[in-house]
Amino acid sequence: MKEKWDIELKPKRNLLEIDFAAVWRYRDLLRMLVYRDFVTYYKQTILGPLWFFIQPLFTAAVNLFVFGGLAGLGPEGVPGFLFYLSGPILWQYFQDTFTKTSATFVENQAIFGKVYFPRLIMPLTVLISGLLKFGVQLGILLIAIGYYFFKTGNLSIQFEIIFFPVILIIIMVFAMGLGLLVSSVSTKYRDLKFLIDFGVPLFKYITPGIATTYVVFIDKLPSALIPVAKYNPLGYIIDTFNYMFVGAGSFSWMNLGYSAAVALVLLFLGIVIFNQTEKSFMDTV
Amino acid sequence: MKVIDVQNLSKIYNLAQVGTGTLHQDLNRSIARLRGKPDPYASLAELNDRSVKSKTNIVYALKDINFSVNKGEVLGIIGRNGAGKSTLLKLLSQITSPTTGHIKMKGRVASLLEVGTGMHHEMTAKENIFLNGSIMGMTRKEINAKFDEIVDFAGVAKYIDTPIKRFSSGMKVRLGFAVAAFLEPEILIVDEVLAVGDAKFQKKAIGKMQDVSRGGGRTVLFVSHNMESVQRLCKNCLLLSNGRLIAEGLTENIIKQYLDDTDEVENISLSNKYNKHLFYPAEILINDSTDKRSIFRDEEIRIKLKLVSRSTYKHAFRISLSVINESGIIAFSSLEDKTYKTGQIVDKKNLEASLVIPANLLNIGKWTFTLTIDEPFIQYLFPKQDIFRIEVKNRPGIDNYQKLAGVVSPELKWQTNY
Repeated sequence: MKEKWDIELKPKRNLLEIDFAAVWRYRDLLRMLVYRDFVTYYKQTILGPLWFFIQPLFTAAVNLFVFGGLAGLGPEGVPGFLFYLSGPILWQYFQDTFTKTSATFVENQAIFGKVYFPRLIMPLTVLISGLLKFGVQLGILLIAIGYYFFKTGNLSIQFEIIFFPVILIIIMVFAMGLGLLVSSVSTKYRDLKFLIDFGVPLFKYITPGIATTYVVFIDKLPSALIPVAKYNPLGYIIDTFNYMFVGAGSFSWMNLGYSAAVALVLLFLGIVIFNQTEKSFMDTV
Repeated sequence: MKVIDVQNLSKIYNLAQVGTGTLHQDLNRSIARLRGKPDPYASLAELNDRSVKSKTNIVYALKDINFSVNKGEVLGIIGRNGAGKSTLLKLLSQITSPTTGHIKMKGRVASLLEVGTGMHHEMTAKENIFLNGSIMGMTRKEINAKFDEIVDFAGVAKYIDTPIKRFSSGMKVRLGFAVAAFLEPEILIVDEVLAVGDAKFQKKAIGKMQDVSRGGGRTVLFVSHNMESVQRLCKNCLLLSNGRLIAEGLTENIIKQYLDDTDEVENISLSNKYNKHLFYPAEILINDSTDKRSIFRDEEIRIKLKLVSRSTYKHAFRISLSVINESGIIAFSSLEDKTYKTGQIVDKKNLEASLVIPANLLNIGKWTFTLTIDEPFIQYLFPKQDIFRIEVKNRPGIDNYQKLAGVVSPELKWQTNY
């Protein structure tokens, strides 16, 4: 008679042997970790959650001055402040999610070394905790949009905003997928962390939708950098986001489809490699 | 019924900084792994004997471990530092995966390699109970159901809404242990978490673990250096040494073997290294002999310490000698503090101190003596160290009764009316 064992630990794990059921069983942990992030984020600060508001507003003001004022790249026909508020908010969500996910193993080695739970819970926590901050900042954007509507009578929101959830899902999948891939490699080669720390903020400036709209940006870019901007799915996502909320950008199912495809491939590879790494990363980290 | 089955388990660690040393070897490994072949460098690995410098960078932390555990059993795992206990625990608790072999388990497994894992100091005790509980694998519902009991067990009811950064370390440990105590896994894996907390709490914790195994029919694996608690909790034990499983069986026998084994390894002899201390024993005579190691129970034990003061030490000091049995229990200690009490100044280079342990006091078995010489509250002249071992035996033919229960076996006066 073949005995039934609940847990079998073996040296090797098949590439596609991913225990999603375990992740589901641990959903209460995910919830507690998100709660932890939220209540402890601004502990021991004086302004507390006000920082949620201060960051994007100041970023928008500085960007408006540098790109809109100095460089003269401000989009036509829409308030520059709104434009420089919206793009960076979405970018910030990507950057936070990506950098934190890519540090999963290194940052959590103390916990991971003491207790087992599906490691995928940690990146998921990052993804969802970030969403809370992003949500608050999106609220600020909406308030600013309302303010301009009240003042000028022009509503910058486009009809396509109903597809906003699609954009959100694509950027979540993209950030997490990329983060998972990097996290697995960076357990062994810590060099990647340094690359990310200075690389990601720099990459922001060659991503369309931050300094100006996609069309203007491609036009101004040195020809050598054009492929970098064209193949960068983030550019399309941010440009679409800007279009939906501010009316400066573009909307194309083709481009979104391309971004979604890249994001899904990254997520798939990310999960597979993460799943291989998690079983023995404690030996290398 | 078997609930844990471990077969041919080995774990290789790579001591090199990154990879096995070269990218070439890294690639070879990855290719082998992708093709589902075993690690091509596994054969280079050596047993983990830390006293010898390794030739390669790869060592076996565990090699060919086989054992199984039945439902409801409390199994102790003992061994010296570096024997592979922690590695075994890590493998069992899925922290890392084996290099060869497999582990099969039935039911929910919870491992307590640490108490209070993941607790956040900014959160309140209540929030931390939920956080720590869910990290240990409890659902929100389960924690809710046991919440009051957990608070009660930890004894923190008054501070339930206080951030734990205001807690003493003892309170944090109690909180963490309380959560763990109410986990209801079929298999519980415990590292030496009992080493923390005050004596009263340790007692409570050990009691709780006994309840867990007896009442719930749950299986417990317990790793510890504390032979006393191993003996109290576990019926059976595994003994690991240098990554191998060298013995398994009844706890009593295994502990004996462990201590014998330790004896062999750290054969205590007066060594030259002592003379780095300000004060050191140059010679120890037991019953007028330097190599007497075996004593009959009905003999007096006369211990004479010939001490050397390296720089003609000119202060008051005291000597303390502790007598420890095979299970690591200190039977008693004896203090010589004449100069400390009177303030007499000693300026001799060679000193002698003797004491007599009466006959029939030490029970049958092996005894270790530790010596400390200090200037109280100021410094250690000779820090606490094992200085010799003796074995107390029955005199053949005379008192051939069994060993009496207890640490010591003094002869006391009975009065009878018959």
